[in-house]
Amino acid sequence: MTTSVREPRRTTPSSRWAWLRGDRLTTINLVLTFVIICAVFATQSQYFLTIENFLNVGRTLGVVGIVAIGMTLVLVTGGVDLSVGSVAALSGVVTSILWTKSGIPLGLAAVLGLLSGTLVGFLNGYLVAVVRINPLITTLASLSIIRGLAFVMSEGQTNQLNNDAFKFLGRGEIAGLPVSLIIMISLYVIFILVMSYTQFGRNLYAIGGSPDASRLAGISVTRHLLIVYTLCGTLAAFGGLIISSQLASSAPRAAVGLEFTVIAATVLGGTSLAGGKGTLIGTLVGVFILRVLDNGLTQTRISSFYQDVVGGLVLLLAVGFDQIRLKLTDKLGGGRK
Amino acid sequence: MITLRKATSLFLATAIIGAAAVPFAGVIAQDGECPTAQDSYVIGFANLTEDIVFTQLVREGIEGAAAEAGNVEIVLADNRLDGATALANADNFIAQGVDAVIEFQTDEAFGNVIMSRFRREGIPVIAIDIPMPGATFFGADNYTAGLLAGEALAAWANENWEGGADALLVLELPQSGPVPAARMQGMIDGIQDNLETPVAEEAIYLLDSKNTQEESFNVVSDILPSIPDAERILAVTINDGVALGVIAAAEAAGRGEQIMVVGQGADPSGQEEIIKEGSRYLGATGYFPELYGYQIIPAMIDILECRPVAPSVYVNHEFISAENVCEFYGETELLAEFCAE
Amino acid sequence: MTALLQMQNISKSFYGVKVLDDVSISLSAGEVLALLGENGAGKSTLIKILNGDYQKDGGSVLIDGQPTEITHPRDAEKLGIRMIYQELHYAPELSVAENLVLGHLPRKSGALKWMVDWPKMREMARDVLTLLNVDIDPAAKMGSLTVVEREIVEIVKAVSRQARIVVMDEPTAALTPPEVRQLFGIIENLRSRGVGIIYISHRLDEIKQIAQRVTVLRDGKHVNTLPISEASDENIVQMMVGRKIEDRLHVRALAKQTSFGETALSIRGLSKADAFEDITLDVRRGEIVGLFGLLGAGHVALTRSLFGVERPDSGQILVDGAPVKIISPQHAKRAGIGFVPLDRKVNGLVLGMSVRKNITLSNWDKLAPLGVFSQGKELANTRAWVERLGIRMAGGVEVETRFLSGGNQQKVVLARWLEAGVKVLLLNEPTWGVDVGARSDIYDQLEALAAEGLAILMVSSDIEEVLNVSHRILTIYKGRITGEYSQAEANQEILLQSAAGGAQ
Repeated sequence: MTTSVREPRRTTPSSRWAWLRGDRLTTINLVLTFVIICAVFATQSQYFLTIENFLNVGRTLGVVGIVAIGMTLVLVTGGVDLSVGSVAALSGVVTSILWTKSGIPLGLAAVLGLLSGTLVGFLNGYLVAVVRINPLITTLASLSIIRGLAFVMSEGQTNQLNNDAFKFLGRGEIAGLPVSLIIMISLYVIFILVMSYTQFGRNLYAIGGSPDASRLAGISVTRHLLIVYTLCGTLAAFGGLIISSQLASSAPRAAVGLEFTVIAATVLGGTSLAGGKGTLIGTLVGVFILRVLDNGLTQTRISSFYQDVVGGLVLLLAVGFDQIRLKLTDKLGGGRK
Repeated sequence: MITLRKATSLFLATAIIGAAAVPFAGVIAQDGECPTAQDSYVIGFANLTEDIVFTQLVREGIEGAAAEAGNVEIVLADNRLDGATALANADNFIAQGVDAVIEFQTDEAFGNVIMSRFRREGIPVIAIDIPMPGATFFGADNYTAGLLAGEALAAWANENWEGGADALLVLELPQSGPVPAARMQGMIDGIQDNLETPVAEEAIYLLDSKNTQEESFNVVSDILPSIPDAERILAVTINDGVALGVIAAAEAAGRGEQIMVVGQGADPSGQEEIIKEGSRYLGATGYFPELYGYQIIPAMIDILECRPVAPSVYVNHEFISAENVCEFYGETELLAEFCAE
Repeated sequence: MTALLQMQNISKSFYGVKVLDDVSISLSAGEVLALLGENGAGKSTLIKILNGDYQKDGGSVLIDGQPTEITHPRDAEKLGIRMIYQELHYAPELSVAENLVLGHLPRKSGALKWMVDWPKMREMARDVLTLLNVDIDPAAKMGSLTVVEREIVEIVKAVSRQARIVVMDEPTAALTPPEVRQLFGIIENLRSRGVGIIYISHRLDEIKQIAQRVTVLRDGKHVNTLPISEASDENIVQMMVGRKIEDRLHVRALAKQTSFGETALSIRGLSKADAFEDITLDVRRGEIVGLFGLLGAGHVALTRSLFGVERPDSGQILVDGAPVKIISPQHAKRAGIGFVPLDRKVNGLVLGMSVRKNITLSNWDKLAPLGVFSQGKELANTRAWVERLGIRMAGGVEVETRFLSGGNQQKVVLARWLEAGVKVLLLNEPTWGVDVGARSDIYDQLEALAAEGLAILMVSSDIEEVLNVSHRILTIYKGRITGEYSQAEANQEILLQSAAGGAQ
């Protein structure tokens, strides 16, 4: 006998719309928001719905998209990683210093740049999970330390990374699609599977929902947090490599404020800052919304100051709307105690 | 290291822009006597910070110029980007009995306090880049710097694009106030006044670079699809990094050949881009922090010896392009190979 | 004389489900009305309507005979209605006096009116405490008080501002018998001053002591209201559950078990400073051992140590005769030990996760040998446990556990360990805050599980519970085992005496 996932829901009488609950409804709301935003821009700019613009959005989406994966994981465990922007800058700086100054082959230098992010992530995780410093404080400190290190290592200089193979990562195309977009989508597919179908993913939600209950259920909270922060650092470093590749240079100033964009996209996608809630699909849509918003507003030649205002408003509206909806469902669904 | 070959010429050209202008700092000579004139001087230099390359170059230039002058001893201090530190350093200078002070600090409120101390002691001050009340100003001439770059880009377009362009991208930094705004205006004016057919008003795109490469990459990436028919695109940028972002965006969109960019700064990363074969970075206006000292020290000696000095002394900006980059930076490691040819 | 409060023909629906159907209650000044009903009977909804948290669909509320609309908790506050919830809300770092006047701090007069008048505040606090005959130092930090003292302060705070109707929701859930007596003294005091009290509890013995009348709700309907003198345990329980439960008071027919299996859990000389000392005990397969002690006797710390949450200083733990090293919950789990913690809402369940995910949480050996699981298999296992333990929830296994009643939540925690296939189960206060019907259900389940060979060590400070389900009972006092009794020899008196450190 095979049991389908939907079957039990059908068994309860009032559950015709039950599949629409929670995360799914959040995601559907977001997709609708996205479609509405696109529709509005399409009427304002004749170039908005062109293939060229679509490819352009795809090309400029990768960095935030990839870093947001790690951020989603961290936020789901109830933590936060503010150091992603600094880590992204560090990986580019490390790569370019190793390549230009130490004569290490670029491929190897890039791998080491990536590993620098892994190391920072691991240290973040160690401080959060083992030493038990609040993640906000830990990563605020590493934000500052790592940014400083990037400046020290590069002596404040922008370094060129002029190499066609390296530039392919950020600028290249395969079958007409930007390489960075393909990589990003692949990472999303992998991590969506990890988050929904593996013990590891499930445990992350449990840890975010209740660290105490998770520990008492026999989950090693420490090990999971270590892994998650390490992943987040690695993905941030990978985002940094894509930035460097797109710009064919590395700068210690790169990705300043990336953490805000990434957290905004993640939260927009329905991830709770309190932990235990959030989906990568939601994050992906959140990333798309923020990018398209910037893209469309730039094309309709609206002042960048208004762009900041609009970005903030969309975030508030989307999250606020979701909160109100959750409160309503709770009041109705949980009222009968 | 950076060549100082041009130092002598700049030394001679030290800006005495208005010979008749009344000095704001220093002591006015009376009856041919000059109370502050001595055989040798001790000059305090409080640097903005020692953490970034720009200010390190300023310090090195001042030390070099002092050595060249022969009779000047420099006392160093580091303001660490902090007003309180700057004030402590100023008190220190006074205690050490320096003859004059070069101040490089950001805090306007502390600027007033610091200047009142120096005034009381009769110590003349030159303030670098950020004006201080009563001090002689030395720094960038942002509008002129912009103008130089704009003119160069217009000249290039007159020669290569039949004197016109389909779009002008202006990668600005609106949130940082008048200094970058003056640079941008200079660049725009430089282009529009010199281009045979000025760019149409609606084809000028003001874009917020947020002073980062990746943001300028993003906004230019976003704007390019909306100007699909533009085949001659000019871009002016707030600095080298932003220029690199613009070029990267155009190249990534497969429209590298349709853009030509000028910027400000001419940092090593900018120089490297300028000398590339078929580069889309025409050049950038140089600020020469390493040469600040060669203007400041002589000006300071003039003040001390009661010769008239203009209230504001400006950097001698030059537009650096592939043609003249070797004159300025030919001996640097970065350009050695290129300039040897 | 008109009643202080009348709620007449109140109805309320959620999602088209009638939660309250034509319910009426009344309360006189100076009366304690016990409100009884199983979880889900509608007590909370009724109270929330009184407090303005919910809006009624039909019916009317009268205060002093006057029809009154309460549309917001502010309205209730103005009318002198005070709620005292199970979870207390206080500022632990502030003094008792400050907590008492929180939000209504007295100010100095004149030009200094933006400054707090501290002497006046202390005086006000002392006044209300004396008025209610409460002996608590107003300068003490709230966090340093015992649970009952905090609760009393909460009550004092509620009534200090012109209270007329006080609603107490399970106020004795976390209290020891002497503390309960202390609380009842306060209630008597309030009553004598004309305050009407609605008292919600599952503990029938308490209700008999304190209430004058009892109202029973079941499935959103008013079943009956009786003077307390006419209410017997049996008929109250019968009204609540709608069927006869003859085994509520130590008449549970625990199968007389004389032979058990091999020893599953052995503890040898386990000690931990300031918690317990030299604990030695065995639990055999198929046996339920009850460990009875008053709050703070060390039994809770013992189970936490057995599960690796805390570290004992010395001693040995053996599972199936083999010594095991337990330094974390993972070790305990690997050794085949399961743990049902004291506070299921914080430590037992991930409340925002579904029943399914809570049951399979960290139980992946069968479901996902390679780390990737099959949803079908997970669902099948989950539903098997739901059926086996009789876990009831509206909306199926995908509903979040926070929407379940206490008893069903506890069963979810049980199911997780059973799914994990543990040999030894450590239970902490398994029926705390669980209503009567579900309680007896959980006892049945435990018994059945033991019969299948599970070794159960149950820690409880509920004497009825210990007597009802244990094959063997140990008492613990100040961290030491003070007595061991078979089910046949144990009774309420002996256990209490032994657990209070008295002669054995």
